[in-house]
Amino acid sequence: MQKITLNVYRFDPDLDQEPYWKSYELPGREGVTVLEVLFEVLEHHDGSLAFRYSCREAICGACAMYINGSHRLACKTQVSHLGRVLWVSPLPHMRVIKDLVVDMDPFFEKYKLIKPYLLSNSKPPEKERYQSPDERRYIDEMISCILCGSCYSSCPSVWTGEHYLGPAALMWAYRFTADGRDEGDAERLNLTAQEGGLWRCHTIFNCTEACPKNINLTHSIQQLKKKAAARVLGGK
Amino acid sequence: MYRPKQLKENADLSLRNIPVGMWGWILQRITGLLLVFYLMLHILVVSVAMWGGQESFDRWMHGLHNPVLLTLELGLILTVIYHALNGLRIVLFDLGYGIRAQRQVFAAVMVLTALIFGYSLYVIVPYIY
Ligand code: HEM
Repeated sequence: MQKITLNVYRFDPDLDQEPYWKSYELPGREGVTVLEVLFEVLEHHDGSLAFRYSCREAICGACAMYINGSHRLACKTQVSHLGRVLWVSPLPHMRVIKDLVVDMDPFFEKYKLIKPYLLSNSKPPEKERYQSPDERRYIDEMISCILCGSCYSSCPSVWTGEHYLGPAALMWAYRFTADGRDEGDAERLNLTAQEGGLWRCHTIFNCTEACPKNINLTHSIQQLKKKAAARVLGGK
Repeated sequence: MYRPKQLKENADLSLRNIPVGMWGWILQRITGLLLVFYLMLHILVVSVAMWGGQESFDRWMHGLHNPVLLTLELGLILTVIYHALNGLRIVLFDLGYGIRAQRQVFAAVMVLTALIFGYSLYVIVPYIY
């Protein structure tokens, strides 16, 4: 296999005045992923390159980066799909801590804000809280979210609105609203149908385009908007 | 939250990486602002024209009837057609239709815009020149 040219975004706020791109010429290999290319740099060229990863099988959400013009998980992105030249930078519009590592705190704080867990006041049943296969199928898409932050980083409403909850948090709010076992609908609508919530979404679809798990977040946000509107208009 | 310098370095501002839906929104905002600007101008011009009574109004209208302004008006028509059709596209999504086919719906908006604008040209261009 031919050589790979990796251009990687470097920035150490303690040492560098400005971020810069650094190029590496690396040996190619059949089936190599972007994450493996980053390891190649780490192990053989520059031990100071910082990036996050954990599971290496697209399930932990740690290695979301901006690779050749799209949000992607480094671990499941085949270099051969992108050509010989790679451009790897941290998630756009987020504060860079070092190189490819960004500050995910605002993202997770907003996720926690919508109470992403079962809310129920009723007495727990004898056995499990029942969910039919159909009900489960309906939330299948949404629960494949791995909280990688790609949608959040892609959203113009997030870029310009510091307090906007963002696509992931809103999608998760709908995920629980759509779950028959959960009783927190009213509470989550109060949390999301307000300033900094649902109505900041302009149906731009960047989140849906960015999601490496192919979740249609715009659909979830729209469903929640519909519920919020129905509540005001006196519907169900 | 982020420092402007980082935004510049860390954001991808190249046009070819902007997805379809974002073009839809950017154009919606630009055309929306153009419409606000035009509406204010329109109200201003008509009000000023009416100050001097019917005769003044007719004089103004005659003065506005020149090829340059009429050509600009073609731009206004395009602006209105796109804004209205894309607006309907968003309303459609809000009602729960077409979200999973947003690219196709946007393509349909563009095709309809082109068709209606083409028809407008066909009707208006012979009238102007
Ligand atoms: C056929 C009539 C119209 C329809 C169906 C329509 C629909 C819409 C929709 C759905 C949006 C998008 C809101 C969003 O981004 O979430 C929008 C934005 C906008 N519209 Fe209209 N509109 C119409 C006429 C007008 C007129 C006459 C004006 C100006 C006087 C106008 C000014 C604007 C502006 C400034 C925006 C930008 C707001 C934004 O980007 O958030 N629109 N329109």
